[in-house]
Amino acid sequence: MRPAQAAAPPGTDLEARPRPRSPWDLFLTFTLIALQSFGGALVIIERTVVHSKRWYDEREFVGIYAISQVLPGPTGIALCVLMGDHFFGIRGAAAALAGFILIPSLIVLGIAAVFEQFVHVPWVQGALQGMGAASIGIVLLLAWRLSRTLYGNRIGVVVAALSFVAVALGHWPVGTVVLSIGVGSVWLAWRRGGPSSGGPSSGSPVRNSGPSAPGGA
Amino acid sequence: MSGQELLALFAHFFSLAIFATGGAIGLASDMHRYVVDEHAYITHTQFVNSIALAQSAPGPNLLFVTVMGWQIAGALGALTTTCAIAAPALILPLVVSRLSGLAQFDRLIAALKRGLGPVAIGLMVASSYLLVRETPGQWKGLLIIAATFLLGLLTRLPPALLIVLAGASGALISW
Repeated sequence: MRPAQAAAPPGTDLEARPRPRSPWDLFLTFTLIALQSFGGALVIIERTVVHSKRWYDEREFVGIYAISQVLPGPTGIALCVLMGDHFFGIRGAAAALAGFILIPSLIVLGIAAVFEQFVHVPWVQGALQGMGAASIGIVLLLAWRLSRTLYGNRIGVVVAALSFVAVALGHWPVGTVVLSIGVGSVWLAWRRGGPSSGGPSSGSPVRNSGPSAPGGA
Repeated sequence: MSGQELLALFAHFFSLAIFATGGAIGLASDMHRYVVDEHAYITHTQFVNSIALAQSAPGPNLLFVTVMGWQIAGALGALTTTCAIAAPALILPLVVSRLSGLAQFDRLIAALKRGLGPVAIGLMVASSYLLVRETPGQWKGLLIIAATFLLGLLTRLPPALLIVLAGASGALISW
């Protein structure tokens, strides 16, 4: 991603790492992160907590990001909770999470309310049609970028195809898909992994999303 | 909307969030089935609008869930869907602190990531399939979808800007 400031090898830093001063500090930081996120909060989160605040080094962030992806909750929410909890327990988790969604949700609801006020004006309807179509294009783009990461991974392609068919054509609930196809796929990965397999520590954590990636959080 | 329906809505979104692997948009196809197809709380157009507004406004994209809840049942609806999506993650610290004691914790996370990654991709593709398939028949909508996709692929224009541009063109043309 942005390797410029990640040059110092992880773990060699003997000084105490900076940390948020209070849950309030966490709240403000995650509010600012959220307000800078026009589509794709993950890149901004990484930039803030790794590069500018230095609360985590690159390797720690990769680990916590991997956990956020696979354990319950959408990735962005899970990241906030884990980071907040790391510094201030449940109060920190609540503060980071609230910062991430409170003010942004008021803003987006305000915008939605304005649109709704004028929804009968023809050009407003046209604008919404255009925005809706573009957002579909953006979702499609993210799906395309993610799919390309499966290149050369035959089992992954099969698992993704099965999941797609199950949800889109078979109308399976997401939970059923995860508990059947997902569990099978994890079992295969576990067996292939071998006990000496390294942790989730390779590459940039948000490389699949790219700087302009939407939908990530 | 009755309290019982709100509770059911909460339960459905909560259960979706438990199984979320990757971003919230991967859950869109399941959500659409619930709020548009089965219960007709909102129209397909409103559903798409909630995604468009969340993507063009500052803030995480998962706030399309908030807009959706607001369209379904006002402020109480917004609170319901948002809390339902956010709540399951609050048990994470407990889960992680239990699991991280395991000797093979890193291997477990790696296997989960490698195993669930493709599932998340399948869900994402399902969401985009649903959205594209249900585009109202006009070729103008399809044209904007294609143009946005290509511009996003070939340039580094931020998604929010693409959406605003499409909104401006949408306001100018006649549909």
